[in-house]
Order: sequence, then C-alpha cells, then structure tokens
Amino acid sequence: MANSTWSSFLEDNPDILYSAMTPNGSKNFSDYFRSQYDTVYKNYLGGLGKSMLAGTDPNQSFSDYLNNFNFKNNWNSLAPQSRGLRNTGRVTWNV
Amino acid sequence: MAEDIEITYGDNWPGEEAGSTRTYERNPDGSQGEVKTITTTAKKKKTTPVVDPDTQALLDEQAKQLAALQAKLDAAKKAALLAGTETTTTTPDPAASLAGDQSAVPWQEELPVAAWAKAFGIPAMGGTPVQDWLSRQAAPSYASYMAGSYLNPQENPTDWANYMANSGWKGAQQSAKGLFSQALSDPNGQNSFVDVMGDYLDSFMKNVLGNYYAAPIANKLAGKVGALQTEYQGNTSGTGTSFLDYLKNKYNLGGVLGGNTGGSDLVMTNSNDGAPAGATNLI
Repeated sequence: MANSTWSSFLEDNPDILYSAMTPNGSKNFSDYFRSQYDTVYKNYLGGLGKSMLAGTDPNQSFSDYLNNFNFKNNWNSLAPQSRGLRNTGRVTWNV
Repeated sequence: MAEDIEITYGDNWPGEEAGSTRTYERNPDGSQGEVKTITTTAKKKKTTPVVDPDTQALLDEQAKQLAALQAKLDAAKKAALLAGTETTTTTPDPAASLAGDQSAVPWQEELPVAAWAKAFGIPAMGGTPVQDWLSRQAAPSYASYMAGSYLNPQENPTDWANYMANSGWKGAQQSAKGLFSQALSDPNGQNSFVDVMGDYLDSFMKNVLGNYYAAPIANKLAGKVGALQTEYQGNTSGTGTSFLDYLKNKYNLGGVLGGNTGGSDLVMTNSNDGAPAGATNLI
C-alpha cells in the first residue's frame, strides 16, 4: 500500500492509479482493461453522485473503488469472442 | 476724498464687542458719517459638540473596524516576515496590498511557489508528472501554513522552509481540518481570517475538503469558493452569518465541530428514497 503522500498523488492522477491496480493477465486481458479506463472511472464518479443522492457524503476514494472492483468476474462475464477466444465449431464429448 | 474714520472698541462699550472695529464715512464737515464696515476680532467661545447616540454608535463601529484592520495588517506583516519576505523599497508592501492599494501586487502570490520548487528540486519546465503534481500542492500547503501562522502565532515560530521540511504538504492537508475548526470557533475573528487568507482561502478549503471528500469532489468544490463568496454576499446580507459558517454549512462540514449541522446543498435527498436500483458497491 502506498504511503499517504503517494496515495494522494494517485488519487489526483486516477489514470495512473488505474493502470497500477489492474491485475496482470494475458495480452487480451490487459488490452481490454486498458481500454476500459474511461468507463470504470466514470462509473466511480457516478457512484459518488449516487452517494450524494442517497444522502451520504461522497468520500469513497478511487483506490477503494478499485479494490472492490472484481476484474476477474468482469472479465469472465464477457462473451468468449470479447475475450479473444474463438469458437472452433467442434463439439467434444467426454464419455 | 476725505479719509474714513476707524474706531476700535475696547471693553465696556454698550452694544459693542470688545476688540471689534467699525469704519465710518467722514462727512464733508469732518464729522462721523454712516457705518461702512464692522470687523469683529473676538475669538469664538470654545464649545463641546453634542453627539447624538446614532452618530456615536457609528463612530464606535468605525473605531472597531479600524482596530480590526490594524490587527489584519499586523498579522499580514507577521506572515510576510515569517515567510522571509521583509518588505523593501523594491518589494510591494503586503500591508498596503491588504489595505486595498491596487498598485501593490498581492503579496500572497509571491511567496510560496519558488521556495517550494527549490525545496523539492522541481524544474521550472519539463518536470515529471510527479513533479508537476507536487508543484500544484504548493498553494494548498502554503495556505495551511498561513492559517497556522495567523491563528497560532505563538506556536508557529518557524519559517516557510522549516514548515515544508517538518510538515510537508500532507501534514498541511491534515492540519487544515483542525485549523478550520479553530477559525470557526472564534466568531469575532472569522472575518479577519477570511481577509488574511485572501486568494489562498480557496487552496485552504481544498485541504479542508480533502479530509472529508473523495479527491475529484474536493477538487471541484474547492474551485467554487470565489463563486460562493459572491453567493454568500447575496444570500446572507444582514443575517449575521459569517462566510466560514456559510462554507461549513454549504459543504456539510458539521463534523468539524463534532456534529452534523445539515443544511448542505451537496447532500441531496432523493424523493425516490435513495439511489437507483443497481447502485454499485460503494461505501
């Protein structure tokens, strides 16, 4: 965990924080999440807005948000083609 | 032409003021004719002016304002001295700047950046992203330093360089919450605090808000202090609410004093009872 100084730096530079907190994975995995930064960050900001609407203070940091962001589930929920998997059209039976 | 007759009266002349002089025409036969001029040389009696209560109250209020202004000037001079920028013939007088002298460059703008860049070895051009970011922390840090110097003059004998070395910008941010609370606790000093902070109030509030809100929210809110000042002047005229109290309520910073005062425009209530369905895993 970064010390408080660098935590603040990363909060003020969310693109760097996002890159730093994206787990390692295949090239397809890395490319996909690299392209998802804007979406993820806007969802985070939207969450802060929802906090306001719900009557609570918008105080969740982006690092906390990413800590709770399940990269793996997000990745697995994608269609196989989106994950770079090709359908061979062959059915294999294990008997 | 015959010369006029001039008579200066001494004491005990009925109907004449002692020391006054009358000039008369001289008749052709040499006798005293009509009065031409009367000159009174007697001094006026000294009188004590009677001041009505309203005027006296106004005078008293002006005296208070002058005393407050003097206090501000003293504080400004002290802050400038603490920052190692004694006024010289070539340096604009910070006190004159505070007093509204438009010819004086706002003294606050000259102080922190160069020393900050020097302390952290930040080049004037071509810095790294980290250095660029660090440069932007100079003003908020200096704002906390200013606030601390003003509110606790006896506890802040250090200069700006030592403050940077000992507290750093993160310490400045963390201390802002307590300093804000301290400023709020003195109703009589709140206006002076706002005046002394000047343009640095916005940076100071960035530090205060950083203790409460996520970075993107704190940054956006801090940039609104100037606009809020205008709004404050329009909304609270005659209500006795100070600007700091206005900020506290506007930003929902009741926690500063240990309780939620409510009244914030930031925390909006939703008639649909909370966030829409599908709200994320926030908080």
